[in-house]
Amino acid sequence: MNIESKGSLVVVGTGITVSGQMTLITESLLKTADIVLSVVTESALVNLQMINSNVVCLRHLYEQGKSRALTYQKMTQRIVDEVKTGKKVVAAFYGHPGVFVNPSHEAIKQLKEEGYDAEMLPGISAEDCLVADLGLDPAHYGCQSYEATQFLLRQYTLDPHMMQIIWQIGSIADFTHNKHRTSHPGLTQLRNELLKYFSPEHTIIVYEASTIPIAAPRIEYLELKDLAAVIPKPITTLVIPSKGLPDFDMKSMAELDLTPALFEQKLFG
Amino acid sequence: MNDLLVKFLIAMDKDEKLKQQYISDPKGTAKAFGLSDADVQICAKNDVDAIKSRCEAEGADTLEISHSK
Repeated sequence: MNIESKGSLVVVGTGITVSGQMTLITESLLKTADIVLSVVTESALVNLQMINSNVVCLRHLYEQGKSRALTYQKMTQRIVDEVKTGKKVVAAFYGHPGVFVNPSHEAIKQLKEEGYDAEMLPGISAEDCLVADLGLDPAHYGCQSYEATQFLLRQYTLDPHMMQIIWQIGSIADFTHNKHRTSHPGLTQLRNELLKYFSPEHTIIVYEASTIPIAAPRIEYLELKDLAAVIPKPITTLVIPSKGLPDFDMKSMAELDLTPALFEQKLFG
Repeated sequence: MNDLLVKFLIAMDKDEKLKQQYISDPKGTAKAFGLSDADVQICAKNDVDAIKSRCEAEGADTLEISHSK
């Protein structure tokens, strides 16, 4: 194949809000793409259409009750097929294109294996918004982050000294893209699991990033024992602040010729 | 979609000055952008739920929800 006519893929994120969180390089790539394939909200789609006249929305591939795995395969296939026709393709996803997104990673993997240029650019994710809105630095105590269903169904080891971020608490054990869900029994199970590590009175935060410029994010502080009463959306995130820093590891300290006092002195002057 | 209210939100999300104008004078700013009378009223009432619904901002709910293998 002639290199000039060889298709390529750049995967980008549109951010969490309707338009303002798109990076400058993403906007530049969107402008010059032969085709933009999108999986974004309706309002973000309008923004994409204002940037490029050839935008194809792939959200119709979602079907109520259908396996997400099948939907993701179809999205991946469409992206790969467009590149193989020789087009300069930009695939635009909501938030960060590599976070909670399967077809972006899969399309890049398949195309690279076949010798095509394919890359991902970072976007603003819900986690980025969370850090900014809640004022919680994930580096301060360390941070563990899980998807809610995975957290419950796998034997993870939770470290309560770290901040915990549990995503999609409104979609626990929902594998069929059910947007009309009304009961959330998984929250009781989640609360019971967390009670193994935290007191019933430990503060938790229910969080949803703001999606439009004039609305505030959802930030609700409550006690862990009340988690089951929360009415979540599929995008709702649960944040459990740290119990505080763990004790020093004296063995590691000694190996580095440090003591707690010396460490504090070096750290804070 | 050719919804001017959505385009208004898109414009505000990229323009802090316009957003601040809206916060101090939602009705006047919406009117100056050319919104319909009905949409100006939505802005005047600061009906965030109606605006979110129009923008399908909560459409994020129906987007990618991935469970790792």
